[in-house]
Amino acid sequence: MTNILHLWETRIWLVLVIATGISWWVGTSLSPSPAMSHVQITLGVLALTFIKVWLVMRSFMELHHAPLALRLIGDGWVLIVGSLVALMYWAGATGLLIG
Amino acid sequence: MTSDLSAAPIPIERGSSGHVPGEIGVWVFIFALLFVVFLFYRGQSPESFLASQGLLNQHYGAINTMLLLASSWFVVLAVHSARRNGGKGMAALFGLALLCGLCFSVIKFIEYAEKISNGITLATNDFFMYYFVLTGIHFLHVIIGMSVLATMIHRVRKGYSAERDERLIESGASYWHMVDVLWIALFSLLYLVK
Repeated sequence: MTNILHLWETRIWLVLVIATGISWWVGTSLSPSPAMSHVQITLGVLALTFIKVWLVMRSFMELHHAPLALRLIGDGWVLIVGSLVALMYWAGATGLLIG
Repeated sequence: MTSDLSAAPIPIERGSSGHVPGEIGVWVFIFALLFVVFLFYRGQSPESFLASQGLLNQHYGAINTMLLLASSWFVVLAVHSARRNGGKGMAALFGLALLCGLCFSVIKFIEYAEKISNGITLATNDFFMYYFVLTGIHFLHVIIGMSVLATMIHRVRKGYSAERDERLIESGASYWHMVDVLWIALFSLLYLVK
């Protein structure tokens, strides 16, 4: 049993669970304030989301053991899709996409 | 090597590395495109999307995320056992992953049933069209993933042999992790993005 708890992937799983809990709380209970707009809060949630995706790919899917080319493709996908998602959200939230 | 395994080609072919990773590659690109398209249309009617999102049950969404994360962890432990422990406990670990998948499915059904019984369908508005289509396609992949898990359980329940089983196990595990990854993104975009 202690072997499982000491596994690197178990620690990553705990980080994922905590990150999910944080984004759940932030996405549902955190109210915008003068210090932090709903746009900034959501961008934070999106950043956390793609970090989680990257962790699953790197750790569970063992990309960190894969050849460099595959690692770069995996990291590249997370970066490109994460950036496009953040950009499209931000464009929508700031009214750039309306009519 | 028992002869009945080689007489069951269809379930095993589903999990063979020639079939599963290619499908995942295509769906990963399709989903990435759908995420961006969803956010584009969201940006055109943010109030409508926000109001519709308010009708979603975020607790169901979060519980489902936790279930898939746990199931991925069980799959990781099973693969680990294959490599370091001769496959001891593999079938049970895949079984736990499958159980998580079943719980996910039950919650999905409850969620859909609640929406539909309140008159909300994919024809209701744009947000719900995306909600039902995206989670529906994902759910199909959960079902395929569960059949892959069941195939792997059947294959290793009498013992693991790297030579015989490694390709199925590794591609099946990859498929399930992709199902998890896609849900992590979907949960955020549909339930949490404001």
